[in-house]
Amino acid sequence: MTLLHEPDLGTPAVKSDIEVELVIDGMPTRVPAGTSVMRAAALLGTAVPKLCATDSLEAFGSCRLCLVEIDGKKGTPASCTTPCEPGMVVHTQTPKLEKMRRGVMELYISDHPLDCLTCPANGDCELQDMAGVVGLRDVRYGLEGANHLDAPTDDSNPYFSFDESKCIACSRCVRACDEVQGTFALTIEGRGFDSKISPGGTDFMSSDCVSCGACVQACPTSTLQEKTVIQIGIPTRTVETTCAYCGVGCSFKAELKGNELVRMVPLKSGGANEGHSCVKGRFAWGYASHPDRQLEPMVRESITDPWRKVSWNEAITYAATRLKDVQAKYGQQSIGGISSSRCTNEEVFVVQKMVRAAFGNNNIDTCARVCHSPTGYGLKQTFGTSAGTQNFASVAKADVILLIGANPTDAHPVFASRMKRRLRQGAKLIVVDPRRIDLVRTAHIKAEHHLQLLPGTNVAIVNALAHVAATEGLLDEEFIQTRTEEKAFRDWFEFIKKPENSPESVEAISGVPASELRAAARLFATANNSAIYYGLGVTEHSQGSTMVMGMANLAMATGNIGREGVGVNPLRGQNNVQGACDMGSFPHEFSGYRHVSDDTVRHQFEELWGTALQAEPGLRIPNMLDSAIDGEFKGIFIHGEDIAQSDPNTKHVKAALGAMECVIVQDLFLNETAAFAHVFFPGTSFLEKDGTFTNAERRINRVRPIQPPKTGKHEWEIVAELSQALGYPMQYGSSAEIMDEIATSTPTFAGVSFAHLDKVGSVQWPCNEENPVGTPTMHVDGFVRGLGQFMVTPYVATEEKSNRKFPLLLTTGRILSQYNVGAQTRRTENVNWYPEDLLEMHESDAELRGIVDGSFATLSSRVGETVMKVTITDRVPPGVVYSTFHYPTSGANVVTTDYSDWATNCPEYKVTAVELRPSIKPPQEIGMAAADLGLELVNE
Amino acid sequence: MTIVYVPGDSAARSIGADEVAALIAAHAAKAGIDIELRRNGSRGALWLETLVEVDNGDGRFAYGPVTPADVDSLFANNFLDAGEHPLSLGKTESIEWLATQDRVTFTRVGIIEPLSLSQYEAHGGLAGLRTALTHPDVVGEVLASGLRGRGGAGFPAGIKWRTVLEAAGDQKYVVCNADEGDSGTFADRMLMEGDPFTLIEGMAIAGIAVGATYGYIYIRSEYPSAIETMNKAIEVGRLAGVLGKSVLGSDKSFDLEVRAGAGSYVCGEETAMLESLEGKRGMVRPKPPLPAISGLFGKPTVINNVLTLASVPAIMKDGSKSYQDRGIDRSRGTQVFQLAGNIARGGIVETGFGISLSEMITRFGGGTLTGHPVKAVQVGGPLGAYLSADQLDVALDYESLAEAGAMLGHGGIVVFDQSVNMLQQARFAMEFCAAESCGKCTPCRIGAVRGVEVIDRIIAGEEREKNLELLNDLCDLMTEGSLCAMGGLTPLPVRSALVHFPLEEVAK
Amino acid sequence: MSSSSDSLVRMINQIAANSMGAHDPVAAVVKHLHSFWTPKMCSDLKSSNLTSELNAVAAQALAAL
Repeated sequence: MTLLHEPDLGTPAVKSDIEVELVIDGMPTRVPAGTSVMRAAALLGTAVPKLCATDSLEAFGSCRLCLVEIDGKKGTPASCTTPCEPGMVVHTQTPKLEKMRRGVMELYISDHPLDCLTCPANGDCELQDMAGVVGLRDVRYGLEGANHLDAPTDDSNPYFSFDESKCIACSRCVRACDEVQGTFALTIEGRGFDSKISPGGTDFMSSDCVSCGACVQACPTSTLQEKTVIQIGIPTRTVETTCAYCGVGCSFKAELKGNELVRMVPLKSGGANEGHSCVKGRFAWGYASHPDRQLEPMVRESITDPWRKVSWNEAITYAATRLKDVQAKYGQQSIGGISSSRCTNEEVFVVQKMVRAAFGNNNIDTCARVCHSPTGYGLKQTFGTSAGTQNFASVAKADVILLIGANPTDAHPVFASRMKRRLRQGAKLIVVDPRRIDLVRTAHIKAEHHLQLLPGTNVAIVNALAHVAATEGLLDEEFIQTRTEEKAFRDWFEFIKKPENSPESVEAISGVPASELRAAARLFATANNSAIYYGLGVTEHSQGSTMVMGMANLAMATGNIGREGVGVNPLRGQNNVQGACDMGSFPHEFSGYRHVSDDTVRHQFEELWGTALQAEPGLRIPNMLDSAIDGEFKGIFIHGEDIAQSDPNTKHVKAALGAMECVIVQDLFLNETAAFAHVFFPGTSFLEKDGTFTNAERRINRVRPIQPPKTGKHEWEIVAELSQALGYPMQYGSSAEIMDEIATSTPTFAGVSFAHLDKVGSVQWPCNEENPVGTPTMHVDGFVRGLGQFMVTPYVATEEKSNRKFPLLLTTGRILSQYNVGAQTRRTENVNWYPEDLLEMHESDAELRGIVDGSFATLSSRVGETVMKVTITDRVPPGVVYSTFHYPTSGANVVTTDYSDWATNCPEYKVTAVELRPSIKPPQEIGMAAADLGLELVNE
Repeated sequence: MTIVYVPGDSAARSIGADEVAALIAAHAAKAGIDIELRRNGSRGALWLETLVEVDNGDGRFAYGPVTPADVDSLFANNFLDAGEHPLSLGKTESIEWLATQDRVTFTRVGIIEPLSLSQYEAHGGLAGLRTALTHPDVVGEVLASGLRGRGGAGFPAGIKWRTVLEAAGDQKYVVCNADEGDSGTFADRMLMEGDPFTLIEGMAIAGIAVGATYGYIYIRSEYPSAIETMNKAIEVGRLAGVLGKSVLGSDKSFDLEVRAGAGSYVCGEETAMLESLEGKRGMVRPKPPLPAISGLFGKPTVINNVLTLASVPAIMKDGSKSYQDRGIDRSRGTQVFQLAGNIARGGIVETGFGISLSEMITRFGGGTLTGHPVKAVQVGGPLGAYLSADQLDVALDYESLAEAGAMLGHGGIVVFDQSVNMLQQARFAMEFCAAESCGKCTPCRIGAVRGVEVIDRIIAGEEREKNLELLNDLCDLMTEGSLCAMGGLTPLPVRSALVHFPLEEVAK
Repeated sequence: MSSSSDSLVRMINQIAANSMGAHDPVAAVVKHLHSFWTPKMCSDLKSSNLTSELNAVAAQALAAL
């Protein structure tokens, strides 16, 4: 495909049931009332010249290029700010307008460098285009007048440059920062001719800028320009694809010169992101060509041996032989696999198929185990389907947003921007979090309530909220009667009314004042549309599943399910958590969440796959690891997950890995886990993958390769060949064929195919005959399970408790610029923002222990200890500490425990009793040393 | 007891009124004479400031202009009992300059103590508000009065109010524009310093009329005394129940607050003022939407100038007809003119519309201060046109001025004698625009700077014809293409300076 | 005593503790084990010497398997 230019209609679309008729340049047209004259003209194919207008931003009316003449109206109104009126007769091209537009351009160019030929934006500059369009031939003012040509360039941001001398002061960057991103980092300093764009009087890196790049995208000139464009030049072709970071699943245009990626530009037609992005998706893709990337398969006899680079054939045969040997020696159940939420649906599908069909057992689990498994469990129990209920756009209709255990501005930034826009419009926010996240108080946003609970007391809180609704007559009786199971509701109603669930009782458990809880509950229960959004602060607890059900109860009890603006919405951590779960990655179920014991389903797969399948659940990751330590589980295929860094209780994980006889790692890098591997299969980055990701809103997005696999093999091919070598024939001509098999075997995916996706862009499952273009809102007329089921959700305190030895509670989270274990982001310029993990603690706790801001401290728990740098902050209350987990050197998971969710064994990352003491040592090179060793040996 | 009035108005204080007041108090105390010293507003006869008045029971007798050095002799001449003195002006109400005016909006300014609600009521205050509280159609009454916006645009106030009244909104606002930035204007300030309750009353009536419950007065930061006086008056008003949940005991609620501007001329433009009130950078918003429909914080908002709102109490008190009877044609009521520049008798002249410019300058202004003939008069502030000596017959009303290519603006009249260089004045107009432009729209942001440069080249005699043509094109672009009146009106003084004062002459 | 058995005890006790709100807690635990545990996990736990550490509901559920 050549370079894709998405049309820019100048001003945003307006929704209205009323249409107005008007005539533009003699052509009659009809548009929704409120549409600008500019947009109406653009829809007719008439491009009115413009510079300050772009359809991602509200009209501003500053450049004065888009002036038009309207019969009966005096003067020359700007078409961007003039709404269409019935019967209007508009002229966009008249001699008078031509002269004025030329006059405007003459002014612009009188204060602009005339270096077009050497300018990085040459050929991609709206100012240049407009000079051409208006036919500017002369700048009569000369070029000697007052100007900004000597203005400095701010190169502080690693990804883009700000060349003030080229600025035309259109404010598109400022407005993008305000309206699109919602950070308000940019402003205009000075006035009149001295007006200049400023990141708050400092440079970009020292400012509030979050480097989302919206300003760069909005800039019509080369003032804000990607450094890659400055270095490489203007791209020549586009590949539409999907970001591989978080569960938002932003659509991007990968813009290339040949096969070289020049820049990533968010796709305006992207369903999840609608033209917006964050610093990771837009800029942090350099890891894909980082020198650490492994491109050749490697094997070794023992993990103390050096790696040996071998051919694909040899590697696959070697791996198959070792696996077969293990099974021969220890039995069919002695091996298993872990699929990756980072990989495509197609890759995940073949991995679980390999385990079930080629390994001959159900020992398949996924890294979703450690993040959103409780979501799957809880929503399945209550609603009948293991997925969020809404699309992202739904938040624009929410009146009250209950945000629990999620930090969207860091972890789901593009969705956070949508949420912030809605909050700026007046929706009310209730934050439930032990830590004061940015959304509690940020530019033009202030949460109505921040329920700053003690870590581990979520269920008590959600019960208290429901208790208030139930006892104060705020339930949606009609919804409950018509949409939910009566008996289950009655049981729940009796339970929730109990005094133990009252805010007054819960105050003692959670530390949240009863009055605040009551006020928040009333706000939630009485709004027209109340929506729940949540993250891992809900799931990664010993009662993660209970909490998910508790939220579902609250939503049903208040009738907030089944329409836009409401719902229970998990914010998924990784790009394809939803998809990995959908694809049958859990040991107890096939794709589409169907239990392995279901004979009909199993027989269907047995027929399709031509082999007998087991009817009992297989092992979950923690059970695999326990079993490995017991000497019963001996071989594992780990796809794109670094369990030695990401899973809790690192010591235990490493012991288990060390006890195995065949560890196969398929990944981009020699990660921490690879130090224990015998076979390494190099994987492909998302830029080489051909497939689909499914985001947090069940949206199936296409991932398209910009180049062939750098390793010479698609990841699904590796799996298919390994299966083959294990004796199970698995053959596909392309990943599209895998999707066809998924569609054939999985009712919710029945209507999905690459061809269909290429045609419609994306679909939200269920996508089938009934819903050919997908299902944005679920449970509209009935729940997937028929009637919704209330679940009784008693609060059970975690066994992980603080005591005199470990008096502090540690909770964890991620930061905007880094991503999970950091394997990707640490290999990009994003390290400039966050070069090491930090542990946040309250001043009073620090003082008590003699720990000063910026110093190192030893962090110890019942299972281990590590050293981290401390930052003192009032974001956390006394008694609670918080850390990120992006760097292997800090090893936050060295201290996290084996405690987990009772139903799904999702680890209890969010509550660890710890103690801190000052340390003079910097963090140890935990794990990293092993990986480095592996690298060194290869190079020898 | 003898009452002595010494104006507390900033203009009077700037030439020693405080010292005069202090000396009078000290002198009286020393002599053991019991007097009540009142700090009234200014009567507006700036050429007579400091205008000291004495009320010995027989009415108010004026002395002026009084300097501190005159105080001893005033006492020596028994001024406390209206004694004769070289500065004697007789009874204040008989001073012809004042007596021939028609004070409606300024009816109490200079007469009462600004913060005395009892004096305010005694002089007719609150009667308009009381009428409004029971009036079935306040908007209709204002509409019938013919009152037009005194800020400059001259838009009928009643129509604006009707739009707000009919606009849907859970909250509506009344915003008073007191960002009086035009050179040679001072009426807003004098009213706020001299009779703040009139403005409060006017805003409360506006609120009741349109269903707004809250108001803001946006006062330029250069007016610290006005800000202080308004704040104190609002406090007095709240305590007395004029403002608050129950206005004068009615079921109507209205309250307001003062917001200080931040030194920007363009914040006097109504949409930029709204931005500023919302805590944002003072940049002009495009219209539509009209502020009357989507104004402050997106809510329907009445925005009027101080003088517009301050005229409303009189309209409600005396009825629309009384107001309508004044003025001519489509300019009804009175206008508070402000005479400044090279003028012998500067100050506030409130009179019905229709008086000619020459009458204003000669009868009230007494000609130029220098005594030289008038060469040019700029009406309506720095964006107003220059009128030449042969245009002085123009009647001072909206339409006649427009016909002459000029505008009334905020009623400022600045007089120049022959020493003025009109080309420099044209340059100054561009320079003013460059200095005060908000920087949003291109014609104003870059155009004004280029305008100065082009005029400089004309002054220097460089390619004069070409540059005049370029200047003409630029003026066309600014007039037609600017986002607001700042850039849009700048060509008015520029062009009038060049048209009425031919190049040969102005280039001298 | 194995690493697995320790974990299994903890797991089943926790499942039982969190199933107390169900109508029939024992049945709920049994259903859970059937749905999510491998047959070997169940048999390992049964044959371990740790059954004394089970809470009442867990013990009944295990017995009912």
